[in-house]
Amino acid sequence: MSDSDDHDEDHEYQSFEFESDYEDEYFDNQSENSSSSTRSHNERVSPSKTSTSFNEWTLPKFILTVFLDKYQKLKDSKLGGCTDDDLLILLHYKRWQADEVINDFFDNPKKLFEQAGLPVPPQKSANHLKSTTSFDCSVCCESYKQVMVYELSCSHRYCLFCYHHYIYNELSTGKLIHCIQPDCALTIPHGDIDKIFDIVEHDSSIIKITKPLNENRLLVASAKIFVDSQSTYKWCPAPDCKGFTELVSSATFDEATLDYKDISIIPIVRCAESHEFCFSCNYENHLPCPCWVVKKWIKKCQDDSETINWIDANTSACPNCLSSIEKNGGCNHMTCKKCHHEFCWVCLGNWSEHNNSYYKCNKFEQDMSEIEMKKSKSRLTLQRYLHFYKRFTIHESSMQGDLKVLKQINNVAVMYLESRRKDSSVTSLAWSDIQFLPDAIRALSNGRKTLKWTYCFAYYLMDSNFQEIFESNQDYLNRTVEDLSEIFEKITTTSTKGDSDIVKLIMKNKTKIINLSNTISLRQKTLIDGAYHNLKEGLMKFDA
Amino acid sequence: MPRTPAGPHPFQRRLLKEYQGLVKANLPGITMVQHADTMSEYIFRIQVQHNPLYPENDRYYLSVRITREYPVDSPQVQFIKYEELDDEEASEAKIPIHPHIYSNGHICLNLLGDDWTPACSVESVLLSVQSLLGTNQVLERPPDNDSYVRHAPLNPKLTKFTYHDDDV
Ligand SMILES: [Zn+2]
Ligand SMILES: [Zn+2]
Ligand SMILES: [Zn+2]
Ligand SMILES: [Zn+2]
Repeated sequence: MSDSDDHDEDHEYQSFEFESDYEDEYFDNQSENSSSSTRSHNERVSPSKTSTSFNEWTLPKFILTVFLDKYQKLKDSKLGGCTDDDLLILLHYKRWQADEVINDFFDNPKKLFEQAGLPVPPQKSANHLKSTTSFDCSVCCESYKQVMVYELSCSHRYCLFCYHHYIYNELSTGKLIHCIQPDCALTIPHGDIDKIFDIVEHDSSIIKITKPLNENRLLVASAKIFVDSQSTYKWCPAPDCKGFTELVSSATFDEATLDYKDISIIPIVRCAESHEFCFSCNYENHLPCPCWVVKKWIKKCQDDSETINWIDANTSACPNCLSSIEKNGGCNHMTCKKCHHEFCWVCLGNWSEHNNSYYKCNKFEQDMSEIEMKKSKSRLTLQRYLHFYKRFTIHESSMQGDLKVLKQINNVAVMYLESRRKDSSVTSLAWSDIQFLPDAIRALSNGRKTLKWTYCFAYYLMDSNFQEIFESNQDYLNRTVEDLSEIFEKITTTSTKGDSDIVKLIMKNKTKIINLSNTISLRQKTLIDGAYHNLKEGLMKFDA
Repeated sequence: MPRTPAGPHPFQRRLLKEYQGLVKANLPGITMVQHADTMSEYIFRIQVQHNPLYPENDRYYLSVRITREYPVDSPQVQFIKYEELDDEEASEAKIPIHPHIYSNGHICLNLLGDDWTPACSVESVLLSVQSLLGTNQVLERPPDNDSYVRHAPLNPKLTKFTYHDDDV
């Protein structure tokens, strides 16, 4: 008796090629921005030459496309004597194989209906959800003066409280749910399940909140179980994200035998909420790092968690006056409120020097001084680790800071536009005018993510001449990311007069923001491409 | 549905009614030998009639625990090795040998799994277990008994049994 645990049909839906989509989204904006169109499309090397293609799903979209698509088709063909409820039950029973439903229907309708728990034609379903008086429920053993009860065509009647408990428990199987009576095989229609929940959970029989069918509780439960059971489907690992992704095709990816020189085969996919993640190891997009490096790094960071405390204790004070500094946004250009000393949060160096030689900020100087030389080797190893670890975590927390600031900016802009729209007075801004914001937000956080993983990458990299190229790419990306982050943070901190002020500042900086986010995407790609080529050619190697 | 473990059972009336029914019920071969005041723990003595594999004098003891989720979810049921203090015949109680009963007392029974609905009751479990023994024809343990018993969780409800065949 398994109604729905083995769906193995082929889905032929539009697949998204990661490569092409990735580019289009970022570079479509260029047309409305004259100053950045100096780069032609041909100049760009394609990003990681991935052969990964995938479908982005949300549960409602999945249910609509995979489950209900066939329901609509059959609904139109009008199987004789079938109500919409019946049809949905038949399809669910046949695991959404419309052909099987049609064949069995014409072959032996009685048998099909009986198996699916429907009254055998010409009998019709007569389900009742109603209020009744003086009712003794044999499940909860309560005697009710007045109560809502539910019964299927069998007239086995139980109170709604009991039905709600029962269905709640059964939902986890994702299978069709039958009458409470043990020997009764009649199936509860999908719609009735939602009705029962709405009435019990909203404690009212008057308010009828009709959910669309693709949010039906049983269909959602069934879809979740389907996704869980399929190795070609994975939930997005981003916190609170309900999206999932179906891997349509990818390079053969064998963890055990892979020689890890080719990072292009890492199956980076995206969810419906635009979160990029690795289908293989289920982490966020960790390019340019191969999965094994990621695993090693994460393990090391967990093992060395004590050193993390050391870092925390040492990165929270102004290097000039030693007063404590609180970091709110994502930008790493710090100004001490007390002594106005401007410094870099990452290396604690003077900010003014960063314009010329920012890249020292990323490079681990192994041969610093004689004193350093005297230090034991293990000390040096620890210092090297701390150098990269610190930068890795700083970008991680900066990402959170960025998101906070960006959310605020986005909210302000959206609310401002909304109010202008309601006002119906002269609108100076249209929705299309702020469409660049979500793109910039994404570019910034994706850029930071890549930047973050470059420190893990660099930690495991063997010394070579090409390391310098990598480091300068890293530096380029770092600078643009910080520049854009700084603009956003300034917008929120310098405008004190209110929302309209923020919107003005956003618009004033529009060109700059678009330019910078395009540059971030480009540099991000350059960096990953560079890593890809050098690893593949054996010019850069990991120290395994 | 969040349920706090403290406080009265959400189906208190049902528990009471079942308890009263079990006290009164005169089920042949089934005797309640112990129960908790909360009406959520029972031990029953089971005797089998008309099956030479299980002589009528043989006594088996079944432990029934009513969980917080009862009756939405089935009770926790298993055979136990139990000794009645005031029992003159005090022959050592055993776990009955049966192709669906493991030597640790766990029972593979549809009613306790997929076939359970809130309309089933402790009584239906008792009758079902008794008939499981009454209709048996081979004195054997399940084929996977040794490996199951070695790795089995204490609570049989945590085992996802695959029901070998439906007609026993
Ligand atoms: Zn019924
Ligand atoms: Zn009830
Ligand atoms: Zn997501
Ligand atoms: Zn990975």
